Amino acid sequence: MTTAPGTALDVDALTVRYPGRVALDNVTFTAGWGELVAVVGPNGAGKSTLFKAIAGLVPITGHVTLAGDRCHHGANKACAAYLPQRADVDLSFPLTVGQLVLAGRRPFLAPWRRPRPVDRHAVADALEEVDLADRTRDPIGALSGGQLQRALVARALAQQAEVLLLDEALAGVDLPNTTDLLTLFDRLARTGRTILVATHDLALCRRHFDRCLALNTALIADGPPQDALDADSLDATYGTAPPPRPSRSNLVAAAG
Amino acid sequence: MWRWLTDPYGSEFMRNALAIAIIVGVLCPVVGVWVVLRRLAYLGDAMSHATLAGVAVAYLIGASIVAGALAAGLVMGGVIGLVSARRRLADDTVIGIAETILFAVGVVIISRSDRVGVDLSHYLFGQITTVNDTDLGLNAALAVIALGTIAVLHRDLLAVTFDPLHARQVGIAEPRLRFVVLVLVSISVVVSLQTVGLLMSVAMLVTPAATARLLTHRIATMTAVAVAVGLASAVGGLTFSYHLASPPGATIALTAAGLFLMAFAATIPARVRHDQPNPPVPTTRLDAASIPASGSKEYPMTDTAPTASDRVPRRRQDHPVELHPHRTARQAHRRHRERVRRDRHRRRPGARRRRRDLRDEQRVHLLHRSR
Repeated sequence: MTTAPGTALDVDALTVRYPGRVALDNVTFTAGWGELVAVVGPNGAGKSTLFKAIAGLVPITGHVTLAGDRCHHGANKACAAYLPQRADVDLSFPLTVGQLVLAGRRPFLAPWRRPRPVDRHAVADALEEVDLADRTRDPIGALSGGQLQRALVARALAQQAEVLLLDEALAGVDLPNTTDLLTLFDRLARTGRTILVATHDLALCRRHFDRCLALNTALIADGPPQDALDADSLDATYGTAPPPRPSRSNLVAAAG
Repeated sequence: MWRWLTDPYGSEFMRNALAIAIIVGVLCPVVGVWVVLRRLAYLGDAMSHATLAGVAVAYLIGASIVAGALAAGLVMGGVIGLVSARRRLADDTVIGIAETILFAVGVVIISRSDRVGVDLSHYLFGQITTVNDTDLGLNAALAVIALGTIAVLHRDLLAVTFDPLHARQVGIAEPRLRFVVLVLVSISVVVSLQTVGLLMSVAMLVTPAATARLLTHRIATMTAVAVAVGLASAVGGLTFSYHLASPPGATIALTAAGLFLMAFAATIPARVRHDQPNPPVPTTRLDAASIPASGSKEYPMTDTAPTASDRVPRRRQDHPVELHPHRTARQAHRRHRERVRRDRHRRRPGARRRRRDLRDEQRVHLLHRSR
């Protein structure tokens, strides 16, 4: 299968099964270079699973094509960067911001080598791009929620990731920092990076994103927020009714 | 004072004891840093108990004790890896079972053995004064292997410990690295077997690293402080035990514990201060009305389509207040030094070549994108 040159991310019939349940059911969508996409859905809808599947961190059926390469199981997994939720990050860990970002250089830097100037430049430039250049030597525990997200984005930039998958990046971030992050996302999208943000904040989606995926195990809606977040699809996404289009695997899981 | 320090080491066997104490005092804290950061203290404890089976079997068949202990540690690691892969039992449960099995096997074999010179308490509490040159060489070699491994892999260890998901993404073989950590713990337990005994070997593994964790915020300084504390406890404990005529292993463990308590007491005010929230940051850059409160749950939402004026301001000059002014002169100085360092770096001879390298790397990357 060849992908159109304008496609950064092509997800085709993606299904993820965890023991005893189906986390993602037959999800298909594509995203072009420089697209900024919000992913909404209730807790347990599979937002994190979708991101981990794209990043090659969970076994899948179906296909994920990144930058024209089927790199899900290949060596090139690093071109999609999964940014963990803040709750999953141990802020007391003795790590400086610079060391955190340097971890993104691993695909280019053998573990036993000292960081070369090119690595140090990449780290400095990545931190510059997210406005954290003066925090290089600070411990990560000194960062606020928004700054931590920016540092994680810097790690993805140092890794030269093309597709950024931000899990709950805007949760628990205050107003000015939210603005900063959204500005940063816009800036990165303009340089051609494709950014997917999982969020619970529907109002924010409507105002600041051009495209929105509504997810509840299956993909419910995909499009501009005013269409993807209309009353019907919100009912299907958040309602108590069973998700539409129950697949055979869903029924098996429910029966078992 | 000098005599008090040098007196104990007049004899050959005490000099050997000092040498092994130094080896333990360097190796265990360095491995211990990773044990503490990866929360493996209980695994270390269990490993030390399990080595008794290896020691006993080695005695039975006349093999090297160090080799036997090492093998038992690896068996323990393998069992844990195999069983906890089936996810119903938690790691510490499996460790508890494997530990007691191997320890009990060791006790039974040793108590039934009729060979002269086999004494259970030697292994339980250490026998530092019976260390000979062969032991010393073997333990030094093991320590060099372990320290070399950490020196080579420390960046990967850091990545895997902090964020295993990201580590897997950038191509670090996480399971293999976890096995490496098991081997490292096993090696340090074996090396400290003769010094402090298997019941207390976890003291040298965990206590100095924990002390350093209280005092530092960087991995490099943490390792350095841990080694300093480890050396002080091993050598100091040995010297104390000579003058007090107390068991060396227990004295070393107590010295380490004393240093930990001192660090704990010294950092209480700092920790209390650290737990308080930061002072609020002035935010006068944006009126709150331009974004509705997040988490508004009412649905279906009847919202008009967004207009251009709803959008958040995008340009930097819309943000007149600096978000994080320098709080202290020291911070300001550090940031200044950081800038100076970076800029000097750019003007150094060869800067053009380095920039070209970077550009080439980016070009390769762009090529890949257009493909």
